[in-house]
Amino acid sequence: MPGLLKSIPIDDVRRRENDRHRTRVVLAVLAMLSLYVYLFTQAAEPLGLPLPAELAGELDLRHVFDDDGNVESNVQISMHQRIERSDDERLILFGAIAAAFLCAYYLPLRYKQAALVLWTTLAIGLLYGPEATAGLVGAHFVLYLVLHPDRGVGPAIAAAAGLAAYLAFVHDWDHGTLNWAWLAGLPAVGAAVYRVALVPLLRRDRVATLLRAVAVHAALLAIAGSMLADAAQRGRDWDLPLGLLLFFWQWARVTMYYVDYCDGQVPRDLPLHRYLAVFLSPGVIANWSWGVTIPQGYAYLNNNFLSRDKNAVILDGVRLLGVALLYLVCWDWLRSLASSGLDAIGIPVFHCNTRLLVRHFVAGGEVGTASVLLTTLLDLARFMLFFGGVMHFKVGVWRLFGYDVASYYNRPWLATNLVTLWSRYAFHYREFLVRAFYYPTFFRIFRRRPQLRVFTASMMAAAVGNFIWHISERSFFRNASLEDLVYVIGTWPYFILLGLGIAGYQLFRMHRKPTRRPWTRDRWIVADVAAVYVTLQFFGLIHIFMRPAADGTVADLFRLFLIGFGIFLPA
Amino acid sequence: MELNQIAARIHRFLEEEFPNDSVELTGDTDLLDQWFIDSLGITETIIFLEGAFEIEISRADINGSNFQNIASLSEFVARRLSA
Repeated sequence: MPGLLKSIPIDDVRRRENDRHRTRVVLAVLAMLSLYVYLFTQAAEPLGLPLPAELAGELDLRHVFDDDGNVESNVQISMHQRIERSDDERLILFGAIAAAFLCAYYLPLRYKQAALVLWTTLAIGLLYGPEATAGLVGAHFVLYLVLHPDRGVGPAIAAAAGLAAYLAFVHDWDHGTLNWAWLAGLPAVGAAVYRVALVPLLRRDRVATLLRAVAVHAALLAIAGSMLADAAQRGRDWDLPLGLLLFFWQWARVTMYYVDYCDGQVPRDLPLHRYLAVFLSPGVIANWSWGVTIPQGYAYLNNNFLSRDKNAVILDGVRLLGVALLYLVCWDWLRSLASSGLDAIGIPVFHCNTRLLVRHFVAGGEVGTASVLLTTLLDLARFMLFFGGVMHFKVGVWRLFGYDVASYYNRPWLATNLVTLWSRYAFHYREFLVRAFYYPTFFRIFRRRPQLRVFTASMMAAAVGNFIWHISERSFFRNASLEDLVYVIGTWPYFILLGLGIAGYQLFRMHRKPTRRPWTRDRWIVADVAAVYVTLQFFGLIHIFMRPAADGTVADLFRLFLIGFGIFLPA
Repeated sequence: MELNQIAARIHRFLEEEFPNDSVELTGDTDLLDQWFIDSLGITETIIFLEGAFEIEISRADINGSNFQNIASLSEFVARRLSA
């Protein structure tokens, strides 16, 4: 939360003061991006450079490289369809980042964000195709008009939304033939609907609130609709167009934008390109569906854009990209090292994979307490390493453009309790849960009963909000179906235990005030180390419920969970 | 209520609820960087402010401008009391 609170509005005069050019900073960025290109794409071969695998030589780093001799990467393009090789997709991504960086760095202030939107749209067009890009941009046009109507350019944007609808849903891209009636008709219909229906409706307060809620939460409504359709017609696929999927994956950030909007932090006359800059920036492209709330909504982004010397922010970004590189390169190597080492001394850890542990147990295999504890802990470490790598990459990219975005991932191994763990492990995601679920509960109910107030708000954020977000995540990875809903519902103990852990710690803290800061160098530092272990181990253990096996029941998962505490119950 | 009286009550609350021997708490001390304010600290502070000064705080009030230090927090409370 401090990161959010530290976000204070800034004016363009100060932004211009912070916008000074330094060639060596530009060279540092380009050098770092070149390193990414070298390690994570197939650029080495045409450039006549040795492959990364050849450079590693005799070192036993086989888990680091893929078949074509470069580094296997978790930085990827989600739901890719157009381009066969992920290395080529990454090349486009790094190229777009470099081009966008140069524009954002050297262009005058008023053109910077527009340039970012432009390069991002171009990159999305190359990676996902014009059809998907039109769907995504068109959906944002509609949302923009619903939130910011009554502007002179409204009819033109509505017509552009109509054109986007034509390109996304009607145009035959395989044959390239234009349907002139639709091409002319849809923009005209868009402009007419805007003038005749949308603007008058949005002048009525209640209708406007309803329309805005529907537009903002269209993703959740789509999930509900698709599940109902699935229930009515079992077995029928319900494909969502890719452009809409890309838009829906931004549901959490759209929600953050709307929270800012309701709090009066978004100017009602915000120009379109500054709206789009929240959603279309090169930082969103990699792993589109991961850490979707980076970097939150309009207020946070706007308050942190060129809020201090841009060269310092950019160098922080370069450093973060360097750390990301370390995580991305080493995570699988460390996993295999830990796995083989512990297997050798007779403690099976199932390749540090909780899902494999669960499968083994559900299939009737025996496991001991040490095995359960170590597998879940190492799985958490494994996940934190590659998750941390990708999140650092995404935040690092945002910083290259002058956005002083806080780290999503900040040394979670220093967290001495679950509340701190969530700040350190998934900072921006937690901000989403706090602003979209915790605050609305906290400021609405049990205002005279502090404990109940804090407990209910914590459960709403950590259990209910977290659960809803995971439904959306699961649904948009696949086709939203009843099966997906049933799967997520089956993981309920995770959300309840996490919510109880977080709420319980907060209530404990309300009664017993801390007398020292964690990691103060005194004799209690040993207790900090123990608290870190308990926190991470508990968080790792409850992930058993997030990795159900097809044939297993929740009771099986509880039995396995209890083995972690040394309690063996009969099947 | 005078501004300095508001500041004194907030100061006492913060010293009692979030003791921190290593920093001297003044009106300008950055609560977010230097004091014991984390997410729970902020919610406890809200509960205290609502109870002690009988004001209502909304989600939009939770921002860096209001919660930066005791001085800004006191000014926020004074504004609310005079509204």
